[in-house]
Amino acid sequence: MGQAAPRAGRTLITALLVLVIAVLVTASAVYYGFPQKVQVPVQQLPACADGQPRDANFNCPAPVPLKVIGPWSAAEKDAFLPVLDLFRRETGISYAYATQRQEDLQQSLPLDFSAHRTPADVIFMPSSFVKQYGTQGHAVNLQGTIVEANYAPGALDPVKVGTSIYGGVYTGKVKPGFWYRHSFFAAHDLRPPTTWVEFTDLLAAIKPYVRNQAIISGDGVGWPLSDVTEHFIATYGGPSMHRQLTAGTLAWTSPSVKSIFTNYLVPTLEAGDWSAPREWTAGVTEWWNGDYGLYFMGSWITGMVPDPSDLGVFSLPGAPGPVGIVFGPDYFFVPTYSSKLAEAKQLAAFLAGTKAQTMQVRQGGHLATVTGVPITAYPVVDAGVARLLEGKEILSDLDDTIGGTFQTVFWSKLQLLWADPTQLDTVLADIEAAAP
Amino acid sequence: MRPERGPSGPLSSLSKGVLRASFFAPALGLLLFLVIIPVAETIFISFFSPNGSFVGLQNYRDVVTSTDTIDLRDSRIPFGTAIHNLLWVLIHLPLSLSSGMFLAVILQRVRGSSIVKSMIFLGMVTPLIVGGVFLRFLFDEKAGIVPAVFRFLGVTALARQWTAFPDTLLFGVILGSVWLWTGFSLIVYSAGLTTIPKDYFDAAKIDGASSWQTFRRVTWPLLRPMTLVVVTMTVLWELKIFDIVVTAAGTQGGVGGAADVLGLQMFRYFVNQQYNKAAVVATLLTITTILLGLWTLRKMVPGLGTGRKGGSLRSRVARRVASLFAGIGAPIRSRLRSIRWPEIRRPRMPFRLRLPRRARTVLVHVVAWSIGLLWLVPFLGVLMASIRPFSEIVYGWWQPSPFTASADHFEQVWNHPTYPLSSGFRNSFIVAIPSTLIPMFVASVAAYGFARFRFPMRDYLFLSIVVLMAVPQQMVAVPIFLQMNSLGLLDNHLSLILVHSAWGLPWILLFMRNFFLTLPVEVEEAARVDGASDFKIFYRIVLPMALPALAAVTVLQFMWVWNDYFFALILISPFSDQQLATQLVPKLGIGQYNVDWGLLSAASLLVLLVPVLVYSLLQRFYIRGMVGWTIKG
Repeated sequence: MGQAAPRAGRTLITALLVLVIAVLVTASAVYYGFPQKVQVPVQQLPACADGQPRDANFNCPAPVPLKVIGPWSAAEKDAFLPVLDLFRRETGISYAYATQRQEDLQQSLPLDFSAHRTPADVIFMPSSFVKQYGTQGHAVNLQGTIVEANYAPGALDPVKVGTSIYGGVYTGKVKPGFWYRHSFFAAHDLRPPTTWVEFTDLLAAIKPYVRNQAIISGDGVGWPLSDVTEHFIATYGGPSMHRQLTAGTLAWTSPSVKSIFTNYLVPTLEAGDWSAPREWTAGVTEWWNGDYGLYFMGSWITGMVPDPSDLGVFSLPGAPGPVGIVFGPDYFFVPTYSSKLAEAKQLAAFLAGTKAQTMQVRQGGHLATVTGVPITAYPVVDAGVARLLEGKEILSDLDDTIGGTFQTVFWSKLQLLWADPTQLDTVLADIEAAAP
Repeated sequence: MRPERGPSGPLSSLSKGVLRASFFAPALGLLLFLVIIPVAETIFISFFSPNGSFVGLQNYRDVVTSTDTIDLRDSRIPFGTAIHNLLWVLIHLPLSLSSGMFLAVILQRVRGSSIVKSMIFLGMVTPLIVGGVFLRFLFDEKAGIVPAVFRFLGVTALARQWTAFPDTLLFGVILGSVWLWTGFSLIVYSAGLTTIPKDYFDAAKIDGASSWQTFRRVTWPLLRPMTLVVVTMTVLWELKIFDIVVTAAGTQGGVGGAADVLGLQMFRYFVNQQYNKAAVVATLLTITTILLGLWTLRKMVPGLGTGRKGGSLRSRVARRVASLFAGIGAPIRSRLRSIRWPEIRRPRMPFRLRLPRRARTVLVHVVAWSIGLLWLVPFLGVLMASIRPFSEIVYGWWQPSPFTASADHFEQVWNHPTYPLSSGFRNSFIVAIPSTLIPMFVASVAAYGFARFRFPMRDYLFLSIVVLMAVPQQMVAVPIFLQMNSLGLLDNHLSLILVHSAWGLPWILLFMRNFFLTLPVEVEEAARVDGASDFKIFYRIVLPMALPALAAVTVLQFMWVWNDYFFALILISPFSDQQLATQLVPKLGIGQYNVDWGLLSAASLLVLLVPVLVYSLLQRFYIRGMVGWTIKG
């Protein structure tokens, strides 16, 4: 027994060394290529599509599909693929779709671009990213490909620099206000408010009927809180304040902005009307189960509840002037390094057109950004949401538009405000320090 | 004591030198091209502006004076990244080190200890890309076990959403990381314990030493080389800490930046293409690591560095560094031999638990198994999420009713039409196996050289390599990506194998060198007298004795490669059929506006099962290694 262990050890080590050598040999073979027996001139054969080389049997490989990267997975992806299928049917261009989180792409795409590569021909990314890398020459100018007149005025501004259009606007989601269940309101004789006082009264009236606070604060990495804040600003500060903050021409610490917080948002936080920020997808279930009465969320919530027909929504009431509503579209761009630029532009034009967006809204949960999509294309609940846009100024999502460091600071500081509303001054000062 | 001048064989001193240099060449070659040159580029750009002009220390000034780095404006938490990292070291290090050592020691005497170790090791193998799932089942106000326990205890102040408040977020993440990292110190100490001759414990027992005395006078001193490894690696990990924080708190460090750390600050600079500032943080991290590491080690290992006095400052520093990292096994052994057990005074303890032997055995078993089961708690949440509908566990996975179990989620992720986890597993194995074996052997050879050969600047060279562990992956992402692109190795597993092999070298080298220092040199000296070459001694004598350490290295390196997400993200594209399992997990469950907790949990469990199995299978080599040790002489 005494000799067994070293012998076993030696045997193991020998086996492992052989494995290492085998791996190295295989690796070098992969890197340098396996030796080919015969070199056959193939110049006389017609070229393959995309200029691809023929294989060992002189056959052309299957054409490389147009590669599309989007953030949608599972059911969201299933709702997007019919659009790409329609594109394939209309153009004959095959596609491949891959899901990739945008936070991952934010790390990897700059590296790809620095090597003049791209992982896909059409990529969905936030507008701030598209604009930033477009101006650096990494995104194709889609002027002439995308018809600006198809959109409402200003819709392309987040991806536009001068006359150059670096991306397209696909469908989007609106963030209309507070969602509630019709059945819950009916059971407790509650009504959507029409003034700020009615709103605070409603919150007080809800409390006895829920297990927790009146409003659930959904939280991902801070962004649902930013949506709430933007809604307060767009309602009580108006669209102009929202635009000025986005452009960086108005300070977050200015009295007018601060008053929105001190007069409206902070009092409700201090009154305990809001829950502590909770993971927002689980929050949908909790709210639906009656733990909370109201949920501020985007229109995508219609696809997340068991019975969308029981959904009601209202915006913050009692605005002193014009009201804005934040609309968050999905943006796409064509990287300069795409090997299939012509086809990619075709897809870009398609996604920015009526046919694609009609197909997308039909799947539910999306709102079109181009004109000409009939209201009949929407599922009933989405049609109701689309009507909420009427009479309101459409605003781009503030933190998505600015992007960069500001966005994460904004999220993080709002989380702090929710945890401790007395730190309002520090929060606004830090947001202002990160603002453009 | 060192085999510096054994009887010379037929080799001339020159050829002997060449032979000995060959011990280091593979490791240094890999390190040079895949770590050192990229790191040098990183340090270089820290002195330049984004447009390429030299700015001296301006970037350093900007980073150090940023409120992100130090924020003492308000006492209600946000202290800044530098302070947070310091808190990590002060809280996390002692907790994870002591709990790992405690468990390693008591598990020696526990039946089924391999199972308990596997339970604790689960924390280590959790892929941090899905760590959010686990944190949800720990800290969520409704679904988390921690607030539920405090609610049960009536401590309402802590029965809340831990991630939503600055204080509970910061300390919750640190404590959660103790859960993760204890598996590391456990595995290192378990390997170290196998090297302690049983004779020493028997002698102590015969001489009447108590368990505490035996631990203090035998186990603790002989585990100091392992402590050196644990402290160094843990401090490095704490300074670079990133994944768990970004998972728990987002890229800004959560509520007002309450959990922000230097690694995250650097990551933000990286993502925002402020590479120069990111380089500053990486450089500062490296310098801090050197200083803090030396200070910590000096405190941890008193009595070291008491060599010759006097000389120039440089030589004094050199001796200090050398003494801190030099062999400490031999002095400890000689000190141990000088102990006269009857002379040991019993430590003054406030009380002494006098229990019959059987009762003590039962108590140890109960404690060990309870801790093991406690470690499983977060996984129970994930397991429930993977087999039950999410609606059933939204108020806690422990809710028994309704209970609808099925394996559908596992089947769906394994055979997913677009992202089949089965193919991710195949690719992960193709990468992880060579990425474990290559650095293990390359580093072991070099580590033996560092442990046994004496040559000019040896300790400086060793220290320089060890310091490379402080460099965060993000900082070399750009040069490595460009290197692999120029070699045509993008979307090729070979690129990942090369990078992981190089990046595994520093820690394996440190680990193996310290392990070799615990081995007796007498056998090697005898072999040398018989004319064996250095390589023959290493291959025939030392390596077989190093099986416990090699097994530990295999487990840890395999796990790190298996769980890697960052290098895979930048080197393997999302369309490639070469994608690893960790790349596929988020695609299976995380959408833009929806999270499929069932698929995400099932995929997470499957991915982490592999390192657990590797760990469980290799545990027997610890035992075998111990047998090998006992026959040595």
